[in-house]
Amino acid sequence: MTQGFDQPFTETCLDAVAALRSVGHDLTESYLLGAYPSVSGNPYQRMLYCAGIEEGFACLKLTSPQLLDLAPQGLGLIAHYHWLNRIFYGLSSTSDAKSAANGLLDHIKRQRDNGVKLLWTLHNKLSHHAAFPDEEIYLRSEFAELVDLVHIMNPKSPDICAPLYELPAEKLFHIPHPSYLGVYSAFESAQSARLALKVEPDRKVILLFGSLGPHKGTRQFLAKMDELQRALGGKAQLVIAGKRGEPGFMEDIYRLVAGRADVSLHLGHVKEQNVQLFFKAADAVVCPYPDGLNSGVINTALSYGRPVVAPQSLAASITGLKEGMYPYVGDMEACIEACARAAAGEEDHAPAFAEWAQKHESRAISKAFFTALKGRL
Amino acid sequence: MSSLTGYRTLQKRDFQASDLGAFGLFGHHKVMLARKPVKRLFYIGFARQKFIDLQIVTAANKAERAAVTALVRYFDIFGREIEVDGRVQYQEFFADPADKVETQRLWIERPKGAVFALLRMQRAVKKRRIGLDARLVLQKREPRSLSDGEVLATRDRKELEDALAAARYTQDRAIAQLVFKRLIFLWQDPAHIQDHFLMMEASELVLEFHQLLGKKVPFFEGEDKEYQYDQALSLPYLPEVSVRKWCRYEAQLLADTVKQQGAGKIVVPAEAPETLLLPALYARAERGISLEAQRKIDNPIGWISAREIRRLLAAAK
Repeated sequence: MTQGFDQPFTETCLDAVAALRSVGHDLTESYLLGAYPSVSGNPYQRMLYCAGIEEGFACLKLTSPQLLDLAPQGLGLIAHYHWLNRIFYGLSSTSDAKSAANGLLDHIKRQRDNGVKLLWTLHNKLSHHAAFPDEEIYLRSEFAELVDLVHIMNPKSPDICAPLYELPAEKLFHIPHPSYLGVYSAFESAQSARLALKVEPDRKVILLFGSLGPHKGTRQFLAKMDELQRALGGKAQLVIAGKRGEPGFMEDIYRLVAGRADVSLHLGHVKEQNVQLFFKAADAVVCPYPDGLNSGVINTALSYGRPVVAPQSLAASITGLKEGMYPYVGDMEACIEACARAAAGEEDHAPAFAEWAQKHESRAISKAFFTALKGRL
Repeated sequence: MSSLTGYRTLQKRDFQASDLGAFGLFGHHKVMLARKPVKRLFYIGFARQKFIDLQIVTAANKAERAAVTALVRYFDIFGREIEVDGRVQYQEFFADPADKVETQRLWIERPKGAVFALLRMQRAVKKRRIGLDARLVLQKREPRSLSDGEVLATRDRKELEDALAAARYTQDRAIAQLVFKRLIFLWQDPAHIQDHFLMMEASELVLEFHQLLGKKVPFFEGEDKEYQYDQALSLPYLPEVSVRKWCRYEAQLLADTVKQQGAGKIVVPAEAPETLLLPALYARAERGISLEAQRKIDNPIGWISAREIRRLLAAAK
């Protein structure tokens, strides 16, 4: 995926054409794919699009959905939408949100009328801490109707989303989230990672990784910390690493963590080269997200060979792995029990994790994604 | 915003007075604090502690941490600055929503030789409306002890730190845990977090001692030779280091040394540092090496009281 720099978008498109030609693609059978919104803080889009050029898709970041209108003629155009809630950023009223939703829907209708193929990757059931849930459900529902294709990473997505909106079965195609093999550094040993994080070797480390927010079950998990401690014979150490959430939520976190030496907080953006420290130091990674559909944290954990505890619906996003996932059904009690089993380390899942990570390596998943896309255009 | 009705914006004349150290000289003030500090010089007399009660209000609907900061500098009779511990000088205050506002206390702790204090106060958060409601007059009060209920409710850092010092003095880890919980929640200060960690390490070591002694490890069958343990083999105990980690490592070296020298008993002589009793006790509890403690324990070791250590020694016999 090109970075764009400050050059005009049309010039970036011309560069994209040159890139496609340089690997011998016939432009009449190639596509220019514009991704909106684009993210730079996480590598997902770069991973998904990494085989694009060789497969005949030049993938460009869009800073606004309208930018694709400036693309030159001669190439097939695909508007690839990701996190739809981006259009609600900075809005303060539901009427503004409804208006923004309708604005985007009108725009994609125009795109469709102009021959642009519409693709939507479904990252979650509803955005994390959705500011305008009703408007977002409306947008998602209408969006699913209008787009040509919906890319899902969790095969259970239609069932999980069904209470809120419908995903037309004929538009769906499933390509799983890639593993992070080769994406993040992985040269540290578990012991050196623990030393760097000031965690003693005999502790059973449970990792909660990623931006903090009320949708991730962190407070509920922390409230059960004494139970986890009992289940792990007093050796549990919870490591929480990620960006701070909004102040009111953080007050709850500070209150729950204060006076606990068995919980360590590492607040702030985790640099790419430090991601390995947290995962390598962990005995198990927990994603107690009550409403999750997919999670990059799960894929990161598995890529580092760490067992994962997650609700069954979220765990369903991982396909092709026979062991090493510890799904739970029900409340946080079940989650704690699963954590204790996962962290006990009684089973060696390393070969299964390595095989899964290799099979789901970014380039393989990216190729599968574009192959599936080509077959449906 | 309606929640800050009645608070006036600072004027040029306020900053002119501030330049002379005379901000808020007379009367009660309800002002919107600015990022630019206001200054006030006080004659502090001879009382050890004085304070100003103030209320800080935010236009936001939730309390904000570190919304206002105060820096106090001290001067002697000749106007020379007296340097003091930064902890006392710098204070942070919460800003409360108008309907939940609570009084907070700004402390002036007079260092030896100080006659004047210069208070410098400012809004510490950007793009927020923060009001100060106070009469900038020093008041005097004797130090007091907080009840458990007060510990759980107060936002007075100085009183909490005093309560912590008292708990440390009495070696009351249960009270200290309460105080730490409140202190860490309110200020997230790494120094408190580290201090709390050290206390928890001490608790864990005591627990470990009880577990090991409960196992009744058989006595090590060594030769009839004594090892005089009169100095640390790794490094002397340092209060800023985890007593558990130090004790375990020192005990390991001690047990290895005792065995290498063909001894069957550890003797901690009367003149040895009393901190050595802990590793010797650990070697006894974990490895079953006989211990003769000639050294009496009179002082706590970190957060472990002398009484606790005496009890453990008795249990190890």
